[in-house]
Amino acid sequence: MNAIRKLVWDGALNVEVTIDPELVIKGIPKNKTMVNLRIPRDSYIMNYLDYILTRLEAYIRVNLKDLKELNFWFEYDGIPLSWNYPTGVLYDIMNTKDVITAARDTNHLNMWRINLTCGSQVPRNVIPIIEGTKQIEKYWMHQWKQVCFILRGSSKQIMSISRKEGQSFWESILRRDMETFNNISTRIIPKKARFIPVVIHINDKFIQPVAPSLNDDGIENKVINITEGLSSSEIAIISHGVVIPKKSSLKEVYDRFLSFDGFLHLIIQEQPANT
Amino acid sequence: MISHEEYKQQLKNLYESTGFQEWGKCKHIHLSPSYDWLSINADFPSNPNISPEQQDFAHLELKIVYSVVYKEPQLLLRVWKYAVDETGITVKVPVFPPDIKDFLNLPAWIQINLDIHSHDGLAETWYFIHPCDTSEIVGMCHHEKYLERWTSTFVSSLLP
Amino acid sequence: MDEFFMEKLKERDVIESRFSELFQEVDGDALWKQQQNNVQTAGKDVTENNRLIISKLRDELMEKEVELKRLQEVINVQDKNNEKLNDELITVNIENNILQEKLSSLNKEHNKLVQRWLAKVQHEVDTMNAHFERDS
Repeated sequence: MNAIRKLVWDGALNVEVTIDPELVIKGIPKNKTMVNLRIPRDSYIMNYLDYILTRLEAYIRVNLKDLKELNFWFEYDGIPLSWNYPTGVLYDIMNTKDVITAARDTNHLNMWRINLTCGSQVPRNVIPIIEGTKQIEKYWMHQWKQVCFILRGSSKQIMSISRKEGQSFWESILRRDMETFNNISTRIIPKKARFIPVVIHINDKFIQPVAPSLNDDGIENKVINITEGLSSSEIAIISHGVVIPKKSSLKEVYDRFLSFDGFLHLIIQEQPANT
Repeated sequence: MISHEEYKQQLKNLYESTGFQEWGKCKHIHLSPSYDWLSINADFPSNPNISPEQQDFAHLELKIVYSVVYKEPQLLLRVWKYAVDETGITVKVPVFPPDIKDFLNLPAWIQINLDIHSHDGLAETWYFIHPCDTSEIVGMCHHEKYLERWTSTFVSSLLP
Repeated sequence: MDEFFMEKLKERDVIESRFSELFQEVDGDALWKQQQNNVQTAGKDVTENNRLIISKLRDELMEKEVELKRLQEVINVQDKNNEKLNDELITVNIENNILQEKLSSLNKEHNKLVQRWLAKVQHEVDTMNAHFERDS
């Protein structure tokens, strides 16, 4: 299981970020206004905003301190990305192409092209950043509070984590320090959970179902039990870029595929009717 | 803690009683047909530090929803402001002041943060007041009056 | 089951890390420090001096943009004034034309009257002369 956790934790994407042309000094060639980054699937893309801006600073027409007035968000194909979900989840929602064919072609470059956009009003599905990176940390901690409550029916366990530990917990996300992350997260996640924290992403909507780990007969719930009835067509369930067999035990999938925000994110892809 | 069914029943009763009208700030109130949520347009609470009129603030929008995770009522907040759009027409837009606690003069124990609230497939940003200690704050004694007591703690006394 | 997941995740990584050498890894330590201090770390390609100059130039650019906006507003006001003046000029021109017409028609009438008056005087003189010739 640890080997799977390591693969999930280490998963990363080739991402090309292009900055809003409005922000760039006129006449700068386009290739200077983009950065190519390896972004961990299990991270918030907003955590990389300051880094991206710093990298492109030389070509931006205003000083970074003046940018504080503006709101930034990422877009893929004109669709604003809700940064409050892990980067890998956003990628899996947006990219539904045939992975197997791509795997065979060794010349195939898998890259996600996104834009960094700014404006005075953020799109409605994007949480505006009003308190800087502190806000992202706070948001993430609230997610964990919810996770703790869902798993245990109380927030006591997360309250027992000291301020300092809380900070190293967040630090472990930025520094990609899996050991620290595991040390703290295993204190929150019990061996036997009442309910499983799940977020289902389907057709640009998200659902947070009530997902008991055992059914009424005391038998472990399966992934299919919580995705039943969501779509009338044939579906594939994706997590961290891989297809999850529908009959897998929900708790076992959770233990292996939980994201850094404590939730198990499942992406439902509706399959074309003819296949 | 309150069950979803009880919450809906009590929300309906509360809507039909005069409870909200008696709260002086209430301007407009709407209950969803499913009794799942209730929204209120309200005046800003009196705050000696900030005068909303000076900054083109329009109104405060409150929404009472049910948190399936915490099995508690939850309060959502939004601030609306007047703004002029590209065509020169005055419109109302939601704004998110970073100092929301000072702005609304909220007590220190309140935990508030921005999050996405989704209903009917529409995702929107709201300030969420965190419900983790709700039961202890409201108290369990009068179960049939739970939402009423919650409302007086989280709405009328929070935003005087 | 675990073997199945391992295989799938590895397959995913083969695809997603192909050509990853073209994409820069973000140094987690630097990212953490940046967020802690909330300072922008200096880019390697810009020296401190150039940085200062660029920063100043950007400030200037910003000022100019504000100035530009202000001037644009002034131009807008001037444009409106200009338009107003044009309108007035047209009105005055029309008025002038009407007055000119009136003047020329009055002039014509005046000339006619003078002609008639002269004719009348001539007639009187002629009549008078005829009297004198007859009487003398």
